[in-house]
Amino acid sequence: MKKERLKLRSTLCAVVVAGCLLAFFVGCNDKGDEPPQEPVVWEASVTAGADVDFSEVVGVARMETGGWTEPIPLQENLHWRWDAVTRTVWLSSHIPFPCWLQVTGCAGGSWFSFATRVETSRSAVSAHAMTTLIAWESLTLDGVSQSEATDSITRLFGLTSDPFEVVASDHRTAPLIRAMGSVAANFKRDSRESASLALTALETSRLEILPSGTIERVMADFLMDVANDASGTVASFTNLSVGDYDECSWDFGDGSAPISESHPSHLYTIPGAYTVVQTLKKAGADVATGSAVVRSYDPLAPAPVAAFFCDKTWGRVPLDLVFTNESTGIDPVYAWDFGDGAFSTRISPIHTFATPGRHVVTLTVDGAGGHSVKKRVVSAGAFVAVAATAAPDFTSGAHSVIPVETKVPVNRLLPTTSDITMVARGAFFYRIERYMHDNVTKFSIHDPDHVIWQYSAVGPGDGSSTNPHDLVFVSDTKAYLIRYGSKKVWIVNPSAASAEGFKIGELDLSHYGDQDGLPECTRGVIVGNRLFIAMERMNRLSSNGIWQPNEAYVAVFDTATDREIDTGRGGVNDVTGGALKGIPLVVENPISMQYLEESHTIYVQAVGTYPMKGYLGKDTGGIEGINPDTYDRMLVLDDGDRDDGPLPYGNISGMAIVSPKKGYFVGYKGWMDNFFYAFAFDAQGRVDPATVREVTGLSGKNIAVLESGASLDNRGMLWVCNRTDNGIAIIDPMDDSTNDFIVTGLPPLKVVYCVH
Amino acid sequence: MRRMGSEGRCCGVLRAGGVAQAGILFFLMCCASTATAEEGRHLETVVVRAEKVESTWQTGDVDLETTPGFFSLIERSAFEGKIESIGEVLEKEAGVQIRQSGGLGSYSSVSLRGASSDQVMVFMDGILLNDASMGGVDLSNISLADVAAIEVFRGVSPLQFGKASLGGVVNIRTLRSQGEMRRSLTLGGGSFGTRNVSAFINHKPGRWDYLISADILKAENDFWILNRYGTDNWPYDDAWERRINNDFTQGNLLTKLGLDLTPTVRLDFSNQYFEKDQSLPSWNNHIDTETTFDTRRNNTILKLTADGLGLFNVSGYLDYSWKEETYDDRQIPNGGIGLGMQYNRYETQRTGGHLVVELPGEWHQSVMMADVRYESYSPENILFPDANPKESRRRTVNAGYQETLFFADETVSITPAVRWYHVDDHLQSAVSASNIPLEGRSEAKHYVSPQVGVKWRLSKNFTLKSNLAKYTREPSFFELFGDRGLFLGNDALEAERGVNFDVGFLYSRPFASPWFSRFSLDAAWFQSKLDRVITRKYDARGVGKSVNVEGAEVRGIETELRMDLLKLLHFTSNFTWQEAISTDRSDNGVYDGKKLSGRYDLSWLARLEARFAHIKLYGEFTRERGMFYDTTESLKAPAKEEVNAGVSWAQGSFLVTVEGRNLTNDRYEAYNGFYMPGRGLYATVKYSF
Repeated sequence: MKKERLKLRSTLCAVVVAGCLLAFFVGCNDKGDEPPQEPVVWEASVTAGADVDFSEVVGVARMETGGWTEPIPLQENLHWRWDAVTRTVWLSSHIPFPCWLQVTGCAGGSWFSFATRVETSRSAVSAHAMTTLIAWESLTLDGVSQSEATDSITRLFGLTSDPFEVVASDHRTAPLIRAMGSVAANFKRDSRESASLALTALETSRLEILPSGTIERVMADFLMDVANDASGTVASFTNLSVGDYDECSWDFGDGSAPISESHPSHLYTIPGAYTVVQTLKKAGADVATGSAVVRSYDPLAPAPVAAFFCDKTWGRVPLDLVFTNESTGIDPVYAWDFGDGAFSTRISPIHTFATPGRHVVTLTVDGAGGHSVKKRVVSAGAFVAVAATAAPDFTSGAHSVIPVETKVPVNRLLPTTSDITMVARGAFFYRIERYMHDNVTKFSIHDPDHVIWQYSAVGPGDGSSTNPHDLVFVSDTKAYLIRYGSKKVWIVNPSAASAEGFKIGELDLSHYGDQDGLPECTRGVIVGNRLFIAMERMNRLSSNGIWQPNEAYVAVFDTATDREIDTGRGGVNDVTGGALKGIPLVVENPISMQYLEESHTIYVQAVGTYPMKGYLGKDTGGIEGINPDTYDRMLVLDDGDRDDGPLPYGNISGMAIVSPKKGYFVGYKGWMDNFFYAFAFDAQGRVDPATVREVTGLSGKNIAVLESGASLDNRGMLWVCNRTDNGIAIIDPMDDSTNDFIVTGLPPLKVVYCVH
Repeated sequence: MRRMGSEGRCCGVLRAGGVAQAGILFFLMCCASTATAEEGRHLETVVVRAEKVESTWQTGDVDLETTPGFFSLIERSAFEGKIESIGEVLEKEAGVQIRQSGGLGSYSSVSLRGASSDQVMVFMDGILLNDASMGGVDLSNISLADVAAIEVFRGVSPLQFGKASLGGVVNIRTLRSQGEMRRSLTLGGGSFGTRNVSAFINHKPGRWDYLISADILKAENDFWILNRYGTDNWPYDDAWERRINNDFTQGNLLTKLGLDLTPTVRLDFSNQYFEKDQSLPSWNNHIDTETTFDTRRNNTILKLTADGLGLFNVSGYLDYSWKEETYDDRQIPNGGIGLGMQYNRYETQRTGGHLVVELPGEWHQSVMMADVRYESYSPENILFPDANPKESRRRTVNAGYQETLFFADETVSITPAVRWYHVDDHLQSAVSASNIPLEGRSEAKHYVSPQVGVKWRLSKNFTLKSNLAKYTREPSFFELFGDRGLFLGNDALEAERGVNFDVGFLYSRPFASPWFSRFSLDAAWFQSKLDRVITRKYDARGVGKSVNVEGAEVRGIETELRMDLLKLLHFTSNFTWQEAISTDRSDNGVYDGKKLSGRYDLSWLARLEARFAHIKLYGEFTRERGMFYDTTESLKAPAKEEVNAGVSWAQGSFLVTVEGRNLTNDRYEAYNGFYMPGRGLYATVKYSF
C-alpha cells in the first residue's frame, strides 16, 4: 500500500477538482429566483398530418433511467398545450428531470403515444426529444419484422445496444394502446445509432408517416467545468454531442463572438449569470442546440456556506418539516430540492413529505463569492427492517420482519436455504437465494411471508449456478441482477407478472473475465443514471488451488442506454490483454459497496485475502472511495502493511458509512473473532487512524461479514448483525452505545428497510 | 459358542456341526416356525436358519443365538433375483434409515436408531469400511451381487467387531464356499436403462474349494424429474425433464480360495475388486454437466480359522485394502456442480490384522479380540500439482474381552464386555504453495468402552433382552485437521461419547389353526444419550470448523410383527418411532430441543407375501415421515412413501423375478434438487446349473 499512498496523495488535487465539479453540478439544480413549484417546460414535436389535432392527453408515465412508472395524474403534474399553427405539443411539468416521459393521448380520433427525454442544465431546459406518432400494422426494424413478435408490443425501447429490442410492456397504458385496434408505438434510440424503419401505416390519410429509410438524430450535449481564480471564472467545455453534424458552434452569452470548436474554454471576468448555447450544424444548417448557464463569481467575495436545520428527520407521512436556514454568504440565492420532486427558493421553507421513503434534501446557496451545498437525509413513512437470517451451521435460513418503531420482531418467516441476502425498495423486499438455489423472491412488507413471485436467476447458456448476489434498482420496472457466477448481469423487470417477463436484457462483462473467464461481480450501486458494478475477478484456477484475486474493477454503465461508460481509468485485462473501460481498484476482493449521498462518494469495501493454513494472505484489503462523476478514487482505509507486522484490524470484512464524518467497519481477526470498529474521517475523507476504536460489546463476536451486515435505520441508528448473540445490536452513532438488542430467531446476516 | 463348548466338553473335540444341533435344539424349544426360515427379514433371527448357518458359519462370526443385542439378519433370499442396492434392502428394517441422493447407484448413507452415518460402523467380512478421512460409508459402493447376508446390530455391537460406535454395526457377509458344485448365470434389466449380468461358480471337490462371483450393473438413471429450478415457491416455471448425467456402471469380482488343512483348521484367501464409474448430475439438472466420481477398490484377506486349539477356537486374518476415488468437475463456468474447477484423486490404503479367540465353557463363553490397523489417506490435486499435498495416517489398536455367563438352566445369560482402543492420527508435514512449511500434527487418544447385555427366556415363547453400553466416536481426519481454505481443523476436538440403553422382548407362538398358524411380535425401547457431539459450525464468512457441542438424546420404539395365515400368506410389519433431539444449548439455544436433521419420526413397513406352488407374490408399503432437512426445524421434509409389488417364479433351474417399484410414482426429493426415481419395472432371470 505504500506506493499506492503516494499515488493517492498525487490524486488529492484531482479529488479537490472533482469536489468543485460536484459542487458545480449541484449548483446546476439551482432554481434561481423561480417561484416554488414553477414547472419546468420542455418541448416535444409530434409529426402529424395537417388534419390531425391533438385533442386530449390521457396518460403520462415517467421513467427516470429505466422502466416506466405508474401513470402520473395529469392534473397535478402535467400541463399540455396544442399549438395548431406550429403543430407542436407543448408540455410543462414539475416532474423531476432528467427523465423520459411517455405521453399517451388522442389526436383527432386516433390514439397516439410518444416518448420524450427531458433534461436540464441549471435553469435552462433543453429538450432532446425524438418523438413520432405512428399507428402501424407492420413494422420492420433493421430489416427484421417486428409485427409478430408479440401481440402485446406497445413500446420499442431503443435504449439497449444492438440488436434493437422489442419490449412487451405490462404498463397500464398497454391495454389502452392495444385497444386502438392497431399497435401504437413510439420509438427512441440513442442517437449514436441509426435505425432503418419500414412502416406500413394505418389511417395514412390523417397521419404523416415516416417513410422507409434511415433515421439519424443529432443530440447536443456537453460537459462544463468551472474554475475561479483571481482573473475571473474560467469555463471549460467538453463536447459530448452525438449524431451526424459537421460543426459545433458556441455562444458564451457574454457578448463575445461565437466560436466553432469542439472543446473550448472561456474566461468570464464580470460576475453574473451567462447562458451558453451550443449549436450543432450540418451543411450550415442548425440541427440541434443545447444550453447551460455559467455563473461567474466575485473572487474577492467570501464563499457562502450552506447550512440548515430541520426540527426532525423522520416520521410518518404526511411528514411536515420546518427547515431553518443557517447558511452564510453575500447576496445568497437559496434553492431547496426536497428530493421528492418538490423545490423551493424560500429562505426557510416548510415542506410536507407525502411520499414514503428516504429523501435527500439539498440546499444550494449561490452567492457572490461562489456556491455551497448541504445535504441531509429525511426519512418519511413507517420503516420496517427486514433481516436475512441463517442458522449457525447454515443448514437453513429465513427472514425476520421488525418495525423500527416497536422493534418487535416476527422471526423465521418462510424458511429456506441459508445462503441468502436481502434487498428492499419501497414497500417491497426481495430475498435472493444464492449458490445452488439461484432465485429472487419478491415480498410485500404488508404480507411478509407471502410470495408475490419467485423467479430463477439461471437462463439458457448459464452455468449450473449463477449465484445471484445483488439486485440494484433503477425503478420499479427496471433493475440489475448482479450474478457472481456469470459473465453477465441481468437487466430485470421487478414488476413482471411472469418469469418470462423478468429478464429484459443483460450487460456483458465477459471482457473483465480472468483465467477462469468469470469476473465475479459482487455488488452494484446506482448514482444518478450510472450503475457501478464491483468485480472481484478471482482466479479460481490458481496453481495452489486457492482462489487468488486479480486486479479488482468497478465497471460503470449508463442506465438509460445500458452501455458501458469509458471512465478513462481502465487499463488492460491482466489476463487477456483486452482494454477495459472501468475503474481499477487498489484494494482486492471487493465485497460490498455503499453510496453516501451527503459525501457523494461510493465506498467499496474489500477484504484482500484471508490468511489460511499455509497461506498468509495479502494485505490488499481496505475501503476505497470513488467519486461517481470523475471516477477519481481514494484509499479511505488501508488494512495494513506487511512491513508493519500483522494487520492491525484483521481483514476489513464489513462496512457502514453513516455520514461524511463517521463510519464503521468489521475487522476479521479469526474464526468467530471479529471486531466492530468506529472511526471518523479526516479532512481528506480518509479514516483517521487515531479515531479508530472498538465498539463496546461487539468485540470477539461473529459479525455478519459476507456483505455489509450493518446499516442505518430511518432514525439514524445503526443495526449490526451479531451472529454470536443471535440478534441485531442497535448502535447509537452519537456515542457508539448499544441502544437496543433484537433477537432474530436465527442469527442475522443482513438488514434492509422497507418503508410504507 | 456355548453349546459347542458343551459338546466339546463331552467329546473333547469342538466341531462346527454342533451349531446345527444346537440350532435344532433351540428351534424345538422355541417352537419357531420354519416358515420364517425362508423369510428374508427379521428383528430376531435365531435358530430357524440353523441349517444355513451350519454350512458357512466360522469362528469369529457373531453367535446370533447368544448375543443379547437387538439385530436383524437379512439373508440372500430376501434380495436374490432383485436389482436392488444395499441401501434399499436395509431401509426396510426397523430402526434403519437410509438417505439416498437419487436412483440406483447414487450416494446413500445409513443411520441406526437415530445415530448419524459416521456413528454406524459398516463391515464387510469383518473389514471396517468406514474411512478415517470422512467417517461415513457410501453404501452405493458395495455390490449386492456377492452378498450372502447382512447383519444389522442396533445399539450394542458384539465384540467380534474390531470397532464399535454409537449407532451400531452393519456387517455384510460375502458368499462362502459350500459343499456342492453350484453355478448360476443371471440376467436382468429394468426401467431407466438398468442392466445387470452376473455369474457365479462355487465348487468344493475336496479339501480345496473355490468361489468366483462376477457382476456388472449399470443404469442410465434418466428418470423423469419435476425440475423446479430452485424456485420452490413458484410452481409456474417447473418443468418435467429427464435426469441428466446420472448414469453409472459398476463391476464387482469376488474370488475366494479355501483349504481345509484339518477338519478344524481352515485357510481362506479372498480378494474382492470393485469399480464404479458414476456421473453426477447438477442440482438443477444442467444440460452441460459432465461431472464424474469414479471409485476403484480392492480388498484382500488371508484368514486362518482353527477350532479346538486346546480349549480355544481361534480366527485370525490379515487384510489389505486399497481404494481410489477420482472426482472430476472441471467445467467452468458452465456445467460444473461445485464452486471452482476440481479434479482430485483420493487414495486410501489400509493394512490390518484381526484376531478373535473364543473360549467355550459349560456355563460361560469367553471371547477375546485384538485388532491392529494402519490407514493412510492421500488426496491429490491433479489439476494443480503445486497444490499442497496432505497425507493423513491413522494407527489403531483395539482389544477387547467379552464374557457370556449362563444361569438358571441357561434361560438367563449375561454378557459383559469391554473394549480398549488406541488411536494415533497423524497429519503429514508439507510445504505450502507459498513455500511455507506446514508442521505435521499428531493426535493420540485412547478410549475404553464397556457394555453389558442380558437375555432372559421367560418361557418358550417369550424372551426379554436388555443392553447398556458406552461408546465413543473419534473425529475423522476432516474434522480434526480440516481442509485448506474454507474448513478449519480443531486440535481440541474430543471424541463423541454416548451411552446406549435398550430393553425389549421377543414373542413368538405357533397355532394349530389352519387359518392362523403363527404370530410373533418383537419390540424394543431404545434410548441413547450423546455428549460432546461433533458438529460443524460456520462463521459469517462461511468458514467452517468442527466443534464439540453438548449433545443429543435419542429415544424410540421399534417393533416387528409377523403373522402366517392360511399357510399361504405371510404378513410382516415394521414400525419405528423415534425422537432424536438435540440438547445443544450453544448458539443461544437455536438447536436445543430441536430434532436432529435427517432423522425421521415414524417409519412403517407393511408387507404381504403369498406363496403357492412355485410362485411367490408380494406387495409392500413403506412410509417415513417427520424428518427435517435442517437442525432448527425450519425445513420439513415431505413424507416418503413407496409401494412395491413383485412376483417370482421358480421352475427347475430357472428363477424369474419381476418387480414393480414405487408404483404410486412418489417423487421424493432427498436433498435440494436430488430426486428419487418414479415408478419402475425390473425383471431378472436366473439360471442355475
